[in-house]
Amino acid sequence: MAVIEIVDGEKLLSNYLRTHPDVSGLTARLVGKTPDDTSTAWVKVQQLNAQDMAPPLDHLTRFVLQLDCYAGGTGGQPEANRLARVARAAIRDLPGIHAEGTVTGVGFTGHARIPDVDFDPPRERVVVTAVVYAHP
Amino acid sequence: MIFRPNPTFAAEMARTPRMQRVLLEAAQAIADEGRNAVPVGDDPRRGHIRDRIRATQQHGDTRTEIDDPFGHLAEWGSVNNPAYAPLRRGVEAAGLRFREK
Repeated sequence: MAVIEIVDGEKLLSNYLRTHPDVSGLTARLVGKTPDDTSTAWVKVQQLNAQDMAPPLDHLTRFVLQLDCYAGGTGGQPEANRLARVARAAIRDLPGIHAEGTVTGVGFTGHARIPDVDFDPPRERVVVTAVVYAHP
Repeated sequence: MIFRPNPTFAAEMARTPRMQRVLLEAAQAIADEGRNAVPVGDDPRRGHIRDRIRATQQHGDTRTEIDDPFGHLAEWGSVNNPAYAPLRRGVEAAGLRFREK
């Protein structure tokens, strides 16, 4: 009997944002880890949790995903701010059928401006915490 | 007869002794679960964040916090560190929902 895996939450969200016209129009990269070149803006998607929501087990999953919306070297606060708001607006349209799975709902539990002090000078960043409900 | 909701009802309830106990238990559960989310290594310079995650209650204010100047790096990550998110994960693992203010 074939094993049915839960949705790959990071892949679903990253692929969606990467091809969304509003996000791609900002020329920001969608990544799973810090890019080698940090001169231009990027959004790093990291899954924090994947909770089973209801029977049957592992059919519907509640994903908690952190989006680090970084400005490029010269974009500063306006760029990070805009990138986060555009990504958040794009996620609102996420519910529906995707190649990676079906999204039944989305929400947001956090949206904070937290400059990354591991850069010198600190790099502007807005951290969005999104919740995505999805099933295969 | 007119019903007027008390706008301070939630705050007043939170200050009662019983609710204070409930809130502290929840904060401690978050701290306990959050400690599981941060790594511990052999390097004595690292792994101290676990010891700095605390549940506190003072003057009616209940908190789970990372009492460390680098706590924000553990929670939110950086270009050099993943987001271990002990507080957010601790909230969810304790069966609660996180809503940022």
